Amino acid sequence: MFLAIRELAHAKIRYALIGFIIVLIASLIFIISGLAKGLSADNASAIQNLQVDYVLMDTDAELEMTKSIISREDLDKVSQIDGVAQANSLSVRMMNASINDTDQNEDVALFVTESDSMLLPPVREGKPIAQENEVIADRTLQREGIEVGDTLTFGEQRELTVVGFAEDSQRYSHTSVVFVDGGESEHINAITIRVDESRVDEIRNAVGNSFDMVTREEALKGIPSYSQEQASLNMMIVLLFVITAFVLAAFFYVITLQKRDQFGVLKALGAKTTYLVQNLVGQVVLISILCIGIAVGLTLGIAAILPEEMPFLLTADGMIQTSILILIVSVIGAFLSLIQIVKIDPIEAIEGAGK
Amino acid sequence: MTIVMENVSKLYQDGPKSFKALDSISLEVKKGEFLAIIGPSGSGKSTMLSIAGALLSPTNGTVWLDGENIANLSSKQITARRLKKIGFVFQAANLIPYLKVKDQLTVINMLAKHKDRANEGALLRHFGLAHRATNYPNELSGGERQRVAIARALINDPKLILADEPTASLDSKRGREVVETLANEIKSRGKSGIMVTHDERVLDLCDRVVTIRDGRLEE
Repeated sequence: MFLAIRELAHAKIRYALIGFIIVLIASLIFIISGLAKGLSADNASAIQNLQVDYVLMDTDAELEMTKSIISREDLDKVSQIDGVAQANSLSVRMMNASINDTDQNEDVALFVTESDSMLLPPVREGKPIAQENEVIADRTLQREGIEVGDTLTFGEQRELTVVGFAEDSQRYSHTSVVFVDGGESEHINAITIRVDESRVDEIRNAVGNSFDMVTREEALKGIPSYSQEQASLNMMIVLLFVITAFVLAAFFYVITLQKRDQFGVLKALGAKTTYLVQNLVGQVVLISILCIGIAVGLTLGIAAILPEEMPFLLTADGMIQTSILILIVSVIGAFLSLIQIVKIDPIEAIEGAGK
Repeated sequence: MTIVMENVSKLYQDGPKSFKALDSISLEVKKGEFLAIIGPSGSGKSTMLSIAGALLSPTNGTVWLDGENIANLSSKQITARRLKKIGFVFQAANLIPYLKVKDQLTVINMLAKHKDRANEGALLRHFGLAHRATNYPNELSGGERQRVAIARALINDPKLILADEPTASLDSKRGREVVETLANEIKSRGKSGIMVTHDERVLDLCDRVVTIRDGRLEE
């Protein structure tokens, strides 16, 4: 690192320029990741946050929950299978509700289940549901001015009262979810189960071929537009990683070309190739860590000024993973220059020799 | 004998023909002796210096450096021998542009894993460069740069000093001063020195002068 640090300090402007580019690209990666996570949560957090192991849907529905039709008898059968700890029904209805019989309307996704269901989320404000006409709502409805005690009216016949707001985000298909007790309705969309993980294969056999038994992650694929949304954003992120690698590769390639003579002299003086390689990798790592740090700061700053309605979600885990990935990609980008350093012959230090 | 070359030849393949850069050269340099190699361009003197400096291996013949046949060594061992036993002074100094004068010496000490680095300051004082210790090479005069290069060549206390056209970028007065310094250090410290040069005005400072013409040695 002796050479690495001194060179960075001496050629500040040159390295600041490349650093600036890396900061911008890294920030873009963080921001698009935040957007992807935010959109994912906005589209599916109600499914992601379900406290269940598996979701069962009618095979014909191809994982699209609203198209799956299952009878209550099947729910009873599934709950009898050995190894199934608990089974609850889940039905999803996309509805429009008028608030307190006023002109205010909100789109909501009704998540219908049983009164003692494991699907009902913990409540952070208000109380859990006790009766069939009570609901727990997603907290984004609070932003729309809805409070505990307000009523949601669906068409002519049904009136529900908000008794609490859920602890975690509960969104489905970019719509706020309200959890409601549906009683013993005849037809349901899906069966959710908690199981003894060691007996999953037996349970699969017992469930048979007429149902798709999938994890929550797999169930997300059936939400309209979920996969497409994520795929397009993920492709941008992958491209940005590739760009990072190539920008660094080009920069260090040119720099190393310029320094051929110096590397020749150092090798002639007795510097081992590994020593020179360590210094180059050291430089790349130092620059990357510094730039990633600045980019994290920049991203958090931007996140702080984004409007609250914007689907944008940064998690510490996600940012750490992304940072490590950028670092790895940067070092891969320097690989081309490493080969060059290895190839430089110390005899280049003596002018006119060897040719 | 610090360095002995026995019947050293170097062949280069140039398309279908082969070109003999060195033709069966034998040469010895004693402790405290300063040898100059002169000759026209392309005569093979740089090739010879490179072979003496373990930068190039000969096609035929043997090179003994400090009593050791370097043909039998791995490339890692050869790098280590260059570090410990040979000091180089290149054309135009070839200092590392982003290192301050003192760091030019420190980096060699680090490569050799020397813990005690007192010799850095001592050498700089010896060469009258103490006040330049924190300057970068581009802030030095040509003569100062070559003095730093000589100090760098001496820092590891090598047996052999090799100089490749050390006066090339200097005027005659400064050039002569640099060669005088080299000659003095080689004598007073009991090193062996080989210098390749075009500059006939400094040959009187050397103990012995050999001429290479078309790869052959003429005393």
